[in-house]
Amino acid sequence: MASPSPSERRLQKELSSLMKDPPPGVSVDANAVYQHLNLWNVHMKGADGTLYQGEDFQLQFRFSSKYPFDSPEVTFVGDNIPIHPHVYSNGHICLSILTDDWSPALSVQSVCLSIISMLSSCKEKASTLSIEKH
Amino acid sequence: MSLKPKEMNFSDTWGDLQKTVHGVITLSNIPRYVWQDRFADVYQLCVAYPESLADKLYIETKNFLDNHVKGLLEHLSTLSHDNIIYNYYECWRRYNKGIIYLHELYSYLNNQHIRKNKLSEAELIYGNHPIDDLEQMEIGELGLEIWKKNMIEPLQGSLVSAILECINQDRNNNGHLINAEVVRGVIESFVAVNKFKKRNNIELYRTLLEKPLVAASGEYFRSQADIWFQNCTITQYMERVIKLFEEESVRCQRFLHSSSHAIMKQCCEKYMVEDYLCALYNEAKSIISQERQQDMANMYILLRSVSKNLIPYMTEFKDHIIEEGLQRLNEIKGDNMCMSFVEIIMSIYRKYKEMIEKIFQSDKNFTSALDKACISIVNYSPDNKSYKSSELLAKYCDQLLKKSSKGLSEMEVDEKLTDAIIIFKYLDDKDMFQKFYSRMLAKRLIHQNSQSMDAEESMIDKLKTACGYEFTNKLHRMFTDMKISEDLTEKFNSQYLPDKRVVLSLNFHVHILQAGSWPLGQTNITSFTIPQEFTQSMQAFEKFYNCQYNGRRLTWMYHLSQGELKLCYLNKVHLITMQTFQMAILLLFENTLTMTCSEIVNTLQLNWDQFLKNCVTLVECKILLANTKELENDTVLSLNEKYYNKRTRLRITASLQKETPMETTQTITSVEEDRKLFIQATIVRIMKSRKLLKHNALIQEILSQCITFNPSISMIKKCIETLIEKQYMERARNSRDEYSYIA
Amino acid sequence: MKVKIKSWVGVATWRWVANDDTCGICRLAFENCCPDCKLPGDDCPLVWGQCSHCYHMHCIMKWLNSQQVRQLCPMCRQEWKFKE
Repeated sequence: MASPSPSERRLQKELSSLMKDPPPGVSVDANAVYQHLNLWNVHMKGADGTLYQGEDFQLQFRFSSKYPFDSPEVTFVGDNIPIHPHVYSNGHICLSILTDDWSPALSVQSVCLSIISMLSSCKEKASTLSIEKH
Repeated sequence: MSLKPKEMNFSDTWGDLQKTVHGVITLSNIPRYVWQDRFADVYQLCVAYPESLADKLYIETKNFLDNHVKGLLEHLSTLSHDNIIYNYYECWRRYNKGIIYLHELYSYLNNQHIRKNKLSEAELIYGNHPIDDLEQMEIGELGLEIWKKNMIEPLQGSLVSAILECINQDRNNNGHLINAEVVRGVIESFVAVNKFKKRNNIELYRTLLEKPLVAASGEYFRSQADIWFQNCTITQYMERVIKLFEEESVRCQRFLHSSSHAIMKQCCEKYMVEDYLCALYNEAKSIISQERQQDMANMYILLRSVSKNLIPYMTEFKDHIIEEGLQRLNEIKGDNMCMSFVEIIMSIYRKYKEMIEKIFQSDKNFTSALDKACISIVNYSPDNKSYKSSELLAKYCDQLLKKSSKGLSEMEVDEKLTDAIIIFKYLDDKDMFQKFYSRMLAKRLIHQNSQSMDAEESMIDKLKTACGYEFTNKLHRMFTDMKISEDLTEKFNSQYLPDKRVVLSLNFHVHILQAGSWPLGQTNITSFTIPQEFTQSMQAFEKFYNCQYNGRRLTWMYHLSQGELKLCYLNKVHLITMQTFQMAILLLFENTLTMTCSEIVNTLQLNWDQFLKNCVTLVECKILLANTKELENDTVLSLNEKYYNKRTRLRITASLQKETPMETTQTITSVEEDRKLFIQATIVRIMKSRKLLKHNALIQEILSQCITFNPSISMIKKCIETLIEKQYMERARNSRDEYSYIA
Repeated sequence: MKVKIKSWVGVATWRWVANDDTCGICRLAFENCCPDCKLPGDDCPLVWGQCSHCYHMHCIMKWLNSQQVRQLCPMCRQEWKFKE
């Protein structure tokens, strides 16, 4: 409100649109985000009919001041890190749109959708990637 | 003469020297060679071999002078006591002169013997040495010191009472004391005898003369004031006191040491002003309300030297201006309220500004009282809600900048606009004025109603100077659009159309405005089926515009568009400038003689309000005839075949282009909305940096940051509530009147 | 003819026409300017790519300048080429 920076303005827009129209199973603690616009905690429920049904996850988004020209850092945090071939045990996610394929037209919402679909398409709970390899 | 030290016979040498000393001190004629010999004697005694005889010389000289002055005193006592100051003065004059010469004669003793043994100035001032009576003084100082002891001390009582008597006589004789020079001389002697002293050299003068004089004068002033106050009007009283001030000031110059002037002045003021403050304040109201200028000036003179004494007087002055201002504003009636509003305020402003220059000697305190009064007058609003002043001032500018038949010269317009800026600076609701101004400017530009672009721009420069570029930025944008539109029209008509071999049925101009930069409001937007007579030109222009600019869409603002319609069905052809909707209504009569209102509304798809406004004007100026008094759905309208106006060209748009009450309300609402947002943003900014803040401190900070308006406390409170709801901040847990930022 | 239009001064406002209402990069309305500008309009124009996606010129330039390897449209990831 107090003349926010371009990245803050965009994050505010995203926050209100995410709250108005969140992807299924996704919610965000708006009050916490209002205060630290560059650090979001997003709750994600394992989608019904997938291996992760009934599980709760926490995603952390960290935005630089160059957002959306820089991609956000997105990791799973908290007690329950999903067991998935593309998720390291420390919560790191291997997803191309978070690195090389980032585009400023992407958003928190679209990243969440990508992660949900990544989890949903998993047929076997196994972590094939090791931290060392990374 | 040999400078070599030698043995000296003191008593012989002193014998000669003493005679000369006597001669010098009595101003007798001393031959040059005698002077030189005695000068040498002083030297030889000081450097005498085997030991200096300087101390001995000093003691003898001291004794000599001591006896001499005692002799003078004795002589004086034989003379008439009535003439004591005259006789004293004569003696003093000669002695003082003699001592100066004697000081010269003893130069060597002074310079080489005495001065060397003296304490330095620094030692005297900063050291803690007791003043030693036995310390040797230079001969000049010694002579004066002896005069002080042997002459002034014994005579002081008689001298001082004689002086006081003389000053009293001077007062009673209107300053025509015969022996002024003598009195002054005697008083000066009290200062002069201490002229060698490095500090406290007016102490003697102070205790001896100044103190009793101030006491006696005070008594005199007190009794004078008492008599005058009992017997005079306030006017006379003030005149007499001022006259006395002046006389006393001259008297001080004539008789007293400069250090006494301020003390005497204070003494005057104490007994003649301070003691009568209440009485003066009591009169101030009627003096000011009757604008008795001489009295006002006199009272200012009496009060001005103590600034706190001026405050009640200034308040009275301020209240008087406000009272006059409000009274005159309340009397405003009629159509031209905005002109009267500005004229009244300016006439008050000028009148009192001039008065301050003339009567209050351009005193800054009074100027600020005038400013405060003007702020009260300009922002006076009986219901605290309407923003009448902002609107009136903007309308005033609008009238001056509009085309009109008033026939003011450019200079006159400029002067009047400068007046508007003076009032603008007093205005609390600058943002409100800005909004009104920009809407009126938009209308002037769109309706081509500006008298002169130079005047428009000069006014914007004035506003920029007064209020910063943020506001004028948007106004400049409007000017740019006008310029671009002119170029577009030109290019369209002289290049595009000939190139495409298109000939339009009408003369076509455009104003292309950037949406968002123009304060157009939304109220007048209506559906409208534009008659096909217009569409050819519009479509041609849209094509042209799309070639010029990529990715832009034009929306036609019919309610803002106007044109000239030629009425050919009358005996005389008339060319009438009217709104597009009016043109459209008249075009419908091409193939019919009568139409009902509802037929027109249906054909044009116009909303009823817009139709009514436009049609009423056509009926009122008798171009259309209606079969009912009020326009209803089934009212039948027909062309007035007998319409006649002596002018061939005329415009009927004026009433439709006026600001409507609804637009005014809209303007006010939008400014209030802006204010809320501004205050909220300000609160968040303040809380973000302060984290924890008391309610009152927060309010103060907000008030100090609101430059273009004065927010009401209740509005600020509402904004705080909103932010607490939105969880930007909360009430601090431990304290009732404190807020903390949520982070 | 009873009446004839001699002349007309048409007033129109212009806005950007784009497929979207908002810029895909800054998410602000095209009617308004990009977050770095103060006034919308000529000072903060819109540009179209050959893919027909549209952005505030300032936003797309920022993005393209930050890409060293290939310059792609943020929306469709096709090679970005300005539409003439």
